[in-house]
Amino acid sequence: MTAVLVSLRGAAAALALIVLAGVAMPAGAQQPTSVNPTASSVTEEQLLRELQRVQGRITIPDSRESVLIQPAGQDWRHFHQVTLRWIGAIAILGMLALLVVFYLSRGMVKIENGRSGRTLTRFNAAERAVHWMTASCFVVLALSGLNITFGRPVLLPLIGAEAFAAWSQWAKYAHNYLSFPFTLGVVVMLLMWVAWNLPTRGDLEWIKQGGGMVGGKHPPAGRFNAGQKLIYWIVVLGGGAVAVTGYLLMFPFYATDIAGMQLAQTIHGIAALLFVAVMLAHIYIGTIGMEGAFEAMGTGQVDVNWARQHHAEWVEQELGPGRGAAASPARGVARPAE
Amino acid sequence: MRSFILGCIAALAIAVVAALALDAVQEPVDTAFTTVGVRL
Repeated sequence: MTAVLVSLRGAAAALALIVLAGVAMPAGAQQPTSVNPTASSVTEEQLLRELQRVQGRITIPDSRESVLIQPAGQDWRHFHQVTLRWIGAIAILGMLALLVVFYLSRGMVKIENGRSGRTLTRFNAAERAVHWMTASCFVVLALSGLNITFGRPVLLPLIGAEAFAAWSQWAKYAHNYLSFPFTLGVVVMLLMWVAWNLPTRGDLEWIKQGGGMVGGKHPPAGRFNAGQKLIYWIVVLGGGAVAVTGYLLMFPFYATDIAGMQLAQTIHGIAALLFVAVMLAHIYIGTIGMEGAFEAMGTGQVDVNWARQHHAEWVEQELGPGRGAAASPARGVARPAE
Repeated sequence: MRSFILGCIAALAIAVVAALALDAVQEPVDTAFTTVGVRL
């Protein structure tokens, strides 16, 4: 009997120990030990996503220097170094390829009735001077701007680091300072030619007929046709966009913060590259693409037959009703310039 | 040709005036962003 009681007491003690051990075991120890619940929540990437910026405290006067990391800058850098280059390469090389194909298939647009020997004043000296001031600035701005986007991958391997650094420094000075006459030129052209560049019903017909570039017909147009009006508004609005965004970058933190400047640079880059592509088409049609067109900005005088072919309504305004589509004088007959 | 040269001269003249004006207004970075205690 005593032995039985001793055995029962031993069993009860063992059971109590097991229960006690179970109750006393920490709750955390019951979880699976293969997963660390905090391991993924503090990675740098997640922190950067959560924070607008990582900044500390500084004692130098410029408080903006306290920002150590601005995560949005990584997206901006990728845009600047990758996306913008693709946009620019496709737009500019695509436009060049298009113009080459067009020239090879269409050739130069000739004056169909030949030169009349008589001329009309298309642009006066002041208009041409403003055009050339803006155009010469644009060429320098475009080359120095393209250097910012494409210089490192394209030019640096060709000319070496030292020459590239010197060229880039002077290109940057030229880009900054020639922006002022360029902007002035765009503003003056806006005021000077806006009256002739408002949309009219005739523009729709001109567009329907492809502007005479495709097919044999030459739709009548006023002083500026729909294509020239399009170029005009691209210059005014595109030039305005690159000017405003450019000055935001030239005067950092005057009007916006770093995120605003990143947005400004994005708009500036895209608008400028598309602007360059469009201007290539403008230069093409003003030089090798059309006989007699360059004279408008060269001497200011255009042949009457050229004007009748491309701007019949303007000729009527200049010479009187019925003269726009009138039969041209015989080829080779010299007439005094008007 | 005369208009082209006139346009280029006007562009250069305006650019030079802009450069002089900006130099008068803006401080060099080593002056603007430092104190006498932290001079780079």
